[in-house]
Amino acid sequence: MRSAKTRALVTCCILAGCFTIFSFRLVHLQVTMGQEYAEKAADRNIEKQIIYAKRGIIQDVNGELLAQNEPMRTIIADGSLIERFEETAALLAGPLEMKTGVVLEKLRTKRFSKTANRSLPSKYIVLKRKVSERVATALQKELRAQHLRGIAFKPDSERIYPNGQMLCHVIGAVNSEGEGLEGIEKTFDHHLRGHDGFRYTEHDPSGNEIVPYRGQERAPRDGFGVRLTIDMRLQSIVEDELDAAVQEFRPKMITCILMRPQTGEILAMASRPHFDLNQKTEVPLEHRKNRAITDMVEPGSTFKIVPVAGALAERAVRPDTLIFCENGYYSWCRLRITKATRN
Amino acid sequence: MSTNRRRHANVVPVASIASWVVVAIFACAAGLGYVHCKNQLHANGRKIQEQERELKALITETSVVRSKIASLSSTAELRRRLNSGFIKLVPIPDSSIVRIHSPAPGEGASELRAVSNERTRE
Repeated sequence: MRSAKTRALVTCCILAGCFTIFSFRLVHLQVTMGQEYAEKAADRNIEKQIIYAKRGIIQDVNGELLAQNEPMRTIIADGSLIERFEETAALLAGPLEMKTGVVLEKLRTKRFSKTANRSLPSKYIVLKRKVSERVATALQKELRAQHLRGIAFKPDSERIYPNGQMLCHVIGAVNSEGEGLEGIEKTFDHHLRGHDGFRYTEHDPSGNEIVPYRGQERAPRDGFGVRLTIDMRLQSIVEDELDAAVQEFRPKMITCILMRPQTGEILAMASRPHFDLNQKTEVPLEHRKNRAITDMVEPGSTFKIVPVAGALAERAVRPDTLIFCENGYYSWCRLRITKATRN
Repeated sequence: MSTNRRRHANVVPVASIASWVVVAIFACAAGLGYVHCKNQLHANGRKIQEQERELKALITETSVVRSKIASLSSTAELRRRLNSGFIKLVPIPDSSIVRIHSPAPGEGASELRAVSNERTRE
């Protein structure tokens, strides 16, 4: 009996010792190292997902769209997930209008990992930006059908100007990051640009999002729209007239502003030379210049109406008053100001 | 041992067993309920994700169509179609235009009127 009791006591002691060791380890893991491990787990599984805001639209006085966004995709490859490189490259090359060799080379991009101390397949390879939604959807279906992994389609957008060359100087343009560079796009950039939102998401080891564990979330705020006083119907007339004038007189530059005199509203504004807003290639600076508001041009004869109106209002002259024009020149401060002569 | 004493010693504690069985059933039910709720949570999560994906695809599709409509109904496109002869505009003949003459000017309309410095002069 005594030996049995002793055995029981020894067993109990061993068990108690084991549990004490486990308890210490648990306390060490949970309390001492808890913060560090929680951060490591968060780094590995929690991701801050950006929800992009849409840039505001630009409309004319009647609500016709002058600038808007078209959804596009950026094709991204994860080299560590791709198993069949040749097949994937061959499939992507056609729709992306790239050579198979170029795609294959991009897919096989490697980067040096300090932790593994060797070169590993790159996890973020941008294959092509601004791919149309139609092409991206077709590619996505084809990849899924052929069970090819490692290609992601990141949402993107492109600024589209339905009227192309019309009103190009007034609307301006945006850069590849969607920031206004010129014209209305630049002046109202802080209104047009929205605020991106975000969402903290948690993923399982295979990369799928665990929806019930979604964390903090902030919805994006899309940019405000801008409505101009420009009337595209009048703008169209002005553009036609400018084109006709350019064809007839071949001037270096020409500009026209149509304004409502009662309010000062600009109804149409156009200049030549001009450019296509949807054209992505480099446009000469001279063509981008909105000469109607940047060039300093003396008013010339157009200003004559102002002193004449003032003189009539002040009753200094009458409509039938004759004015002596100094025989075509006027001396002032030893200067001889002559009338303009046409060559 | 007498028969009576043996019967007493081997008696089955039904009440105690029953209470433990009830506790075990409760524990099992609670456990299963918890697992069921958790599974439902994940299933709903997947459903939410699927619907979000569908909604996103629809929004994108709408944006693409909207952008196409804007391009096709723009003034520039209208001009292009007009120039190509797809749309034909017939000029309105002079006989179809009714011109409303401006009303006759009232008294003093032909007089010169000062528009500024009227008050300062007074």
